[in-house]
Amino acid sequence: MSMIRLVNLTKRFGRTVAVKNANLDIEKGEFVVLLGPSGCGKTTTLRCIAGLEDPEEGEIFIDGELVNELPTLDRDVGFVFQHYALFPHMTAKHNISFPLRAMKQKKSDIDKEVQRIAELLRITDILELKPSHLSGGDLQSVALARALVIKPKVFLLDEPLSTLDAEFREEARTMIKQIHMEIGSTTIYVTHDQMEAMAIADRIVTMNFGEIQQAETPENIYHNPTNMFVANFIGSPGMNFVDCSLEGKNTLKLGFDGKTLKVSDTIANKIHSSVGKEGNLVMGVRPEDFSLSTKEHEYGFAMEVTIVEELGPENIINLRSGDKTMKVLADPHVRPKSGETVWAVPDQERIRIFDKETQQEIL
Amino acid sequence: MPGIKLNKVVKTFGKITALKGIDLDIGEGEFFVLVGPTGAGKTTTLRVISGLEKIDSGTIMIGEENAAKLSPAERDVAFVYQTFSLYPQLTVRQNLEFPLKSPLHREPQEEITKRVEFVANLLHITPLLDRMPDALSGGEMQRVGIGRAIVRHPQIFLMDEPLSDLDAKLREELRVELRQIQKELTTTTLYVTHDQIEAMSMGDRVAVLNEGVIHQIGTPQEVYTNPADLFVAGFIGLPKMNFFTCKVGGNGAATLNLENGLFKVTLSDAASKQITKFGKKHGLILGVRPESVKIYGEKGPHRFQAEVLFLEHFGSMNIVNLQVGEKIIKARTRPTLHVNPRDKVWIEFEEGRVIFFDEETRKALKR
Repeated sequence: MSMIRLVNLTKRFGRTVAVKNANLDIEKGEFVVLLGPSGCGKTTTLRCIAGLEDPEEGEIFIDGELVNELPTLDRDVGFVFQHYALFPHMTAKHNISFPLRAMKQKKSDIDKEVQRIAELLRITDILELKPSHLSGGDLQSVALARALVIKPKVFLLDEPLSTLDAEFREEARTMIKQIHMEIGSTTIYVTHDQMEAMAIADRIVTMNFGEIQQAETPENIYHNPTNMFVANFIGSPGMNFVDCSLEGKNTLKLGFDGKTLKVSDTIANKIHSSVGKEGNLVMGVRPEDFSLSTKEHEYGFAMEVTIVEELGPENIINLRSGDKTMKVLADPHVRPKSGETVWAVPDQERIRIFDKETQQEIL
Repeated sequence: MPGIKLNKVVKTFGKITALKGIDLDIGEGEFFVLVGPTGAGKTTTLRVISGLEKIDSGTIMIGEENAAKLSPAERDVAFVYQTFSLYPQLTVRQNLEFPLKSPLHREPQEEITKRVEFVANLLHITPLLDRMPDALSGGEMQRVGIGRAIVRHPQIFLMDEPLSDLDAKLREELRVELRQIQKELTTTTLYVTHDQIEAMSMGDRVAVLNEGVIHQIGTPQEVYTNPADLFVAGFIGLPKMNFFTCKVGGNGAATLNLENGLFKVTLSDAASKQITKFGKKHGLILGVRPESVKIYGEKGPHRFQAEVLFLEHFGSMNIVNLQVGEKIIKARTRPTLHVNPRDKVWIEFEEGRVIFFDEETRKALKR
């Protein structure tokens, strides 16, 4: 049995359905990220697991036990929010030991536990300070320590890094990942930041409008998105989408500036067999899956270079034709000039095709 | 379009010195980016140029004129802010017309209509012209806000984090559009951001600012490949540059002891020469960017051993976190390189891509 199981979970606020029929299994020790735009239901799902919200329908199991009726305190979960809510009049040490003191544990045990967790989070030198004397990063470490000190079965984090500066966010992310590797607690982490999700997750659960879209490893979700929402939400710069239809044996008619693209038999055959219709499709190509040719190319289409963004380890080449813009990710030495015409050549193996109507992937 | 020159500009707020002698020389029609963390003095720099704040000492020249003699209106600058307050009771068109109807810039209606339509077209908001602001998305509102700054053809654009309230996708789109618009209008632009990616992608040149001091001015590529000091090296680039304390080893300058003897690196001749010139055997910091940390399966003359801790998958690339003792090293790799946690691998720093800093002065050593 998995550590957490959601069965047909539904939560409404008035007429709004915040979480709709969610089914999810999370294994012991797994690090799962709930990802989606604001209002997608990710935080509500987390709060239902924590016992801070009562779902209207469905069941929540933690370690095999049905917990719908259990109060938060008895669910054996630790959580950390975006705003740390530390007690301002207590030192870091007292904040961390608070849950243990509330459980009336022995003082010597408490001291030992606080020391252990402080060493893990590398905050032993700030234990005697009060929150007003701590930096944002330290506050966050203290909040993490307070949640971890009770050794919860399940660790719940709601956007814990979003108030930190970009520079520190990266460090804190690495720290959370390391702690997870050391103590191995089952973790659910909520974020709207796809980079953060990609970096930290064993598995990403993408949500939109209260519904789970896809639950997969970062690599799989990136390369095989199940629909256009997931394809668009994951990846930076985002996937390029082009309306298209199959014309003739293996030519895609692209929905801008009268362009066409020759595709492999494999792609053409799959379009024929899986939808049985050739029109109303969307082609998706990730920016790194294009190569650029300065000469006419049989398997490419011509576009004009607008702006080249040199970001250091990579360049983004911005292309335009008519109203259509596209982004191509290239190595730093690739620097076509503005105004130059290039042929964008997609890697045939990496072309995704979606049904424009259902938005579902068909290839 | 005039250039902007700042000479030893100092600005204090009570006991705090926000600008500690800023020198800037922004060219005519240049897209110039000020980048730095919170509290660096970026916004204050914009405000003293616009005349919203008075400087304590130094001079500001706008074109050939000393700005001290010009009122804020005469400086003819247009501000674009992070959040926009459009007039809620006016349509998009009326909001765009508004700056052209002020007593200072009264224009004939025909000219106004022409200008509004030109700007709407530039920003792809023509279909929105007759809508009210509350019917716009955040991205559309920001386009209208930018349009309102552009519409009266100011001499100078001052942009203060105009994209930071937008979501990631929109930001990627708009930073390219803003760049294109500026190229077309050739208006001298000073753009403030804390986001180093925006700075890299948009600036003709960037100035890296921290605590009221300019650390470096250069093209994005110069700042990235040849950072002047440890602050710039650490601030520009994500993931951050890897830093190691190091000490010159036994055989001349050829071997470096990193992180108190945790591991050794054998240097190329060029790097050895650079160290020899430095003259000291310790007090050095070695910096290397994640994309210049190369991972190999086998031993080699310039390599040292590390263990793979974990991977971060970003799709188009991976960040491999490597561990040597307590030290974590980040390497940026292609998704096709397959390594797994706990793998023992060999690391090499890419030839010519290692930067040395003097620990004491924090400055980069001369090459």
